[in-house]
Amino acid sequence: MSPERFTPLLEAAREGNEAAWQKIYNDLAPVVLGYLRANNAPDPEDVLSEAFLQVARDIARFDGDERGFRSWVFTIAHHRLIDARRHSARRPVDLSPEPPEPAGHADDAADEALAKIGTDEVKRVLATLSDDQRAVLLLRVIGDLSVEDVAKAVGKRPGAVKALQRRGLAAVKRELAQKGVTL
Amino acid sequence: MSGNGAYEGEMNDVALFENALRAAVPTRPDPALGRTLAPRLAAMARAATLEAEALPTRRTTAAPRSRLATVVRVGIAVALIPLVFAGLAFAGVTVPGPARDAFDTIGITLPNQPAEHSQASNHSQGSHADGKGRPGSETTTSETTTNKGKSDAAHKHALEQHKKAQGKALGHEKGKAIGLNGSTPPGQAKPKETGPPSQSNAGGNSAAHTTTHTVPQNNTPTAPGNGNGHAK
Repeated sequence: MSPERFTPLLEAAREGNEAAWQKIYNDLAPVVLGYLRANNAPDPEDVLSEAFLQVARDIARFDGDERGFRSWVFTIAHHRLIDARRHSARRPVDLSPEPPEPAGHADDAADEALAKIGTDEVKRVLATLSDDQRAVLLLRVIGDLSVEDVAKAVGKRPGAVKALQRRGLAAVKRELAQKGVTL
Repeated sequence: MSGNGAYEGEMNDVALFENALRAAVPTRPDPALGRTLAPRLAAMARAATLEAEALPTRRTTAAPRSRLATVVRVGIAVALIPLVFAGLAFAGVTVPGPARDAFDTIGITLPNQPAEHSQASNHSQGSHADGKGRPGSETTTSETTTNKGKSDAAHKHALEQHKKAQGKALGHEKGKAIGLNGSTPPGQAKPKETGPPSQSNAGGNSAAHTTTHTVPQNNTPTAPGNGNGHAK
């Protein structure tokens, strides 16, 4: 979204325009929910609602462009995820209790990759990563955030995020290689 | 994954997995949730914006109060410092010298403090300048004060005592302990004299202040450890 379109949308959202909020929710909720589910959030839709309610509460204090807004929303979602984890016991990674809906989001390359690796394999590989590695990789891939934005979201330094990313990717390669999947 | 911050080749290595992840993870939330949540979000954002606009006026009134509170807190903290020292002193802890001096200045003597401090301060105030202090403790006091260099008067007093001690030691020279009075080296005592062995401490070493102070009070020619030297 261009700045010419994002700035009025943000202003309308601040003023309480319902259509603006519907648009923001439709744009960001799928990826945020995917991030929460992949991170084994207990009751992901509940955490998603809490995250968006906090976005609405704090939007008057937000200052930035669309990329910054996206990063900010993911940061809030990550914090709510940590809160939710504290209140519940850990469960095995369950990416999506409901059937996945890749058709609307994936392009040809993604379809090809999914055909080769498969959703179950993606789940299994993600489950082998540490919490930090998984959070960093998902924020980088699903959230499409920069290293600096991920560092802000998870409360670490960029160097630490790069190290987590490198180790996470190495673990992913190792896991897939064991299963005979060549990347 | 955006290239920002990624290592060379990392993204290419896992491009397939990345694509699979992108395809597998995003899920569409329940549409009913979005329909019910959007009005709540809008209302909450409106309220938050109104509150944020009202906030600057509140801050102008709140600022002096918080400053006053800070000043009060600092004042209480400063007032607590002497109480803490006094409490430590009552508990038997030796408080640092400057703190004791500060209490002495305002006329408060802290309990459970070492005696040497109070005596040293007495020396500096001239109350002990006559040189007729309590025997036994004099040496300690004067030595301590001299060593620390706190008072010239105490230093003079210590020198005076030292000279007196030498005088007493010389007094022994009239007796039998000739070899240890400083004028005659211990190893060169006359062979016919029945003085102490050359390594003996007989007759008192004038450098040992404590011994020389205690000798006059004994009023006996035999000092501890010099029985052989004064036998005849």
